[in-house]
Amino acid sequence: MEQARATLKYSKEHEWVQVEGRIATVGITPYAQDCLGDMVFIDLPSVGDKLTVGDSFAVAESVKAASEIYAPVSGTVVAVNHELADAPEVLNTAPFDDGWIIKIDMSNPNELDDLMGATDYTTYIEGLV
Amino acid sequence: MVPFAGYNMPLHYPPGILAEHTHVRQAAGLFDVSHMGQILLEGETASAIQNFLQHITPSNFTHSVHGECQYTVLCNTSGGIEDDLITLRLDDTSFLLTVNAATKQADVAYLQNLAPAGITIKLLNRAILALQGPKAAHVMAQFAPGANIEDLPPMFATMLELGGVPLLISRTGYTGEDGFELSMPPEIAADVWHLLLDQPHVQPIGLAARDSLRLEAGFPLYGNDLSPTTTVVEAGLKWLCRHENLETCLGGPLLQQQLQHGTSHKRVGLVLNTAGVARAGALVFATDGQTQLGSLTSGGFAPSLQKSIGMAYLPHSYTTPGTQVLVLVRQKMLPATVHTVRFYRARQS
Repeated sequence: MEQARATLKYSKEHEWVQVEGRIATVGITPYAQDCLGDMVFIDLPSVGDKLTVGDSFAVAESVKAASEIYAPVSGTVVAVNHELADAPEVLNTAPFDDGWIIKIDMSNPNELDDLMGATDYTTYIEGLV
Repeated sequence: MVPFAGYNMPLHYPPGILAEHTHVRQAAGLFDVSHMGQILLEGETASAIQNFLQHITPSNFTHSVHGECQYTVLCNTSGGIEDDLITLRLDDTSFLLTVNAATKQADVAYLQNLAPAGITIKLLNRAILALQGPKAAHVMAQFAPGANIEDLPPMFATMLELGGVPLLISRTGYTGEDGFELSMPPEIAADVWHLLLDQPHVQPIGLAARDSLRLEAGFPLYGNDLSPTTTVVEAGLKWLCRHENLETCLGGPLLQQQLQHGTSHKRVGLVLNTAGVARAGALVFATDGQTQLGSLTSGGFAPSLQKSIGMAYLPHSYTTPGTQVLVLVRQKMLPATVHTVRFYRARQS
């Protein structure tokens, strides 16, 4: 599985961000799903929830452990991928595509500058034990 | 790889925990369980060894035949459990005890402390591989054609020669499926591992699936569900107590009392009614959300049920299957239902 896509941005907590205008689509990276293991449940936020960068907005429950997923940017949740509630395993099998978790209407797009590009993220995960 | 009882063991292999768990329930999974301890117990006479075993365990050893295995526990003077184990009668005066990894050194000390003169205790250096699943018997028939391993009765053991080296095979396991545990000198273990993996239907299985499989089957894990302060009666294991002369066992009189009058608490199963996973340590409350009843001694996701399950010691009045309780998971009170500990039963073939 490809570890990073050139068109996306990445957080240190292994979320990816796809930007289209003011909308940021967020998911977790292949590295993250591999560490967490088989997903069995996901606790999703609601449309309309307001997030500050760094807030935990979802909890991914895998067979091994529960892990929080953090907002890589601030804004309002405008879409939630409810398909994941019935099929959390999609986070493992298609983390970049069908595994998108939420879309955020960004309140401060400058926060994107704090995220890593694909090359930096790949280097970052290679450096992790 | 993760540390476990002083060993480095795979938590899972590349397929992952769910795939490995399902594979054991549908085909044949191979586990390296060499971390467990195998202790050889020898006495001078049949009655000496039998009396010793009946002193340290609540079980009946008067009728066991050569090759017969029994699940039992080592007791302390309070009737509590020092370890759970499988005994195998090798002959009139010797037994092989297969014990947990984390407790094997303590078990040797316990046995040495209690053994009368004439009984010797030796911790063996053996490797153990477990092949578990509905296809395990078929695999063994291919692996050792002519040895009729597939006809070995459950909870019985026999010797098998492989390239001139004797292996001890028992039809025992910790998954709730049919299966075999193979005990051998460590020098041949890698070869046997590869030979078995080469067989169709066989995949390697890690520690995490081992735990989810045994949890579904209702088997306790020593250190979590059993401890020096739990008795076999509280643990729902009173079936392994002998009917006569139980008082000769350590803690025997207390066990007799509990068998007669019941216990304040009992180990039960719990199933979460909603999404989420409750793990060991999660607090259990009555539906009033205030009265704390206990905590999960084991817990995790059950792939065969697609639900979160666990075990807990609850007060007697809350132990009827169907009773509703609450389990505190990440600051939320999740509704759960009391269940027998046997969440899963293998189909009889």
